[in-house]
Amino acid sequence: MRNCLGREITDTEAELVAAYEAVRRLADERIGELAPYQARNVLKALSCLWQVMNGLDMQPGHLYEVGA
Amino acid sequence: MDEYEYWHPLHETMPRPQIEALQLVKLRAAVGWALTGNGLQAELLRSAGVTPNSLESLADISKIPFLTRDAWMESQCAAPPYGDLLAAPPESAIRHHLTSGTTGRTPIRVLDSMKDWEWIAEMWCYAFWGFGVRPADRVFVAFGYGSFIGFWGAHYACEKIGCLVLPGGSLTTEMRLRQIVELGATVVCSTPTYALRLAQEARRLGIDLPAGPVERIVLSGEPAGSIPATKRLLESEWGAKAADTAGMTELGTIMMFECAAQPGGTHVIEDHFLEEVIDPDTGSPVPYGTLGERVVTSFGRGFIPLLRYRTGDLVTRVPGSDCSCGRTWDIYHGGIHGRVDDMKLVRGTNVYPRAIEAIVREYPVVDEFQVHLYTAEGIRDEIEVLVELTDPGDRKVLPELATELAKATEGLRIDVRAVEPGTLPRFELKARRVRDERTVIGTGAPL
Repeated sequence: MRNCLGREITDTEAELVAAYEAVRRLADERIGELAPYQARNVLKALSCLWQVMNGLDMQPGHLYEVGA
Repeated sequence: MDEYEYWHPLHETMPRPQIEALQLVKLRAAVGWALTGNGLQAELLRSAGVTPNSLESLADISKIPFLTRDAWMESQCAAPPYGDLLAAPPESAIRHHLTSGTTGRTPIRVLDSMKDWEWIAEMWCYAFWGFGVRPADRVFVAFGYGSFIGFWGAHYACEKIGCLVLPGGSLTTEMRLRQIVELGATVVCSTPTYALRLAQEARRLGIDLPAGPVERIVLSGEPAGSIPATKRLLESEWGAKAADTAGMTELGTIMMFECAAQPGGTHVIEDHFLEEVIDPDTGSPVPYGTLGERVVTSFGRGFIPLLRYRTGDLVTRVPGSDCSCGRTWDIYHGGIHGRVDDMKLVRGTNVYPRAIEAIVREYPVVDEFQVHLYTAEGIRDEIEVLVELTDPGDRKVLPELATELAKATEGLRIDVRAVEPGTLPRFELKARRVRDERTVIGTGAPL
């Protein structure tokens, strides 16, 4: 997997990307099924992992559409 | 983790061509994002025919029209409370903030989301980490925690780093000092003016700050954080290292910081901001080493896209290689030198308040000062510097100070007058040390 500058990311970084994508999927697809304590913490976690994606130059866009 | 010298080692030491490649990718994304809306920023882009694909190199940023504070204010007045600047639905915001209002103008109002706030803190993390703050530190934030955005981001950054944060809101100056000492704060966040005020109060209370726990002072909110004499005075009064940062409510956070190597300036956070320095009159870029106006483009905050915002801040940009820290990010030598609109014209001479402070702070016997402009006999502009002295009976410094001020202002006569201790205003946030009471000559009407 490469970032926006064409750099091949490391295995550890790929794990971070996978974690972000998993949380992002929850926010996109399952947020309505989650209890408040789950939903709001998913968005908080997503907001933090977004910083990692941004720092890895993975162009994560924004999160306003999911409420973060 | 503590042994890492940089918050983001890869970006902070990136070769310049890679930084610029990253900035171009992010600039295109920021333009694309702004164009998804119909706000002021989108209108400016459409009027100039700018799209992500029209930006082939960083030089193409000149195709993007400037955004000014006046345009922002007009939009805010026409469509209160936030104007036509929001690129995200207001319901996804979690916080509202304002500019400080110290200029006397209507404050700018801003909104940010949860992700934006994590980003705001992230920018401050670059500064704290770069200045040597680590999880074991105890950080006292001498700040009122109100609607002004101020040190809110610094607070969250220190939590993110893992420091113990000591919030200093709603406390008197004496209570703050007692907490700093009793709770063993190793870092203090403050404006330069208030850090000096704390030091003065400590002397009065018999608290020996240099013998205390504070090792670092993180400054923000005023250009004085990079004035060498002010910094020397602060470091001596506190027995601690002081580092400058600078931010803006319009960005939500800081965009530059001084690292532990203290190069006499502040590194621009270039992986999140694209900074230009222009001639304020012509709008053309100026080369390294030339004083000009900062123009900022932010890649982080999406709630209010900010492309080519005219800040009014005066800076001198030099290469990052001027610093020994290893960062490749450019530096604003001397931090922010003042504002384009700070300059006062007195009898044909340009007077910058920061230049006056730089001289006054060379005299530790001056506890507080104020620049007073007035019109004498309705016909003549005058300027005087009012000073409070640590020893009110010892006035021999006054003529020497007047001579030094004249030297720094092309021979302009500046009277220096001692006033009673405790009569000049003290400030917790941004200081307002210029009192301009001049009138239009011959009319008596305010300037």
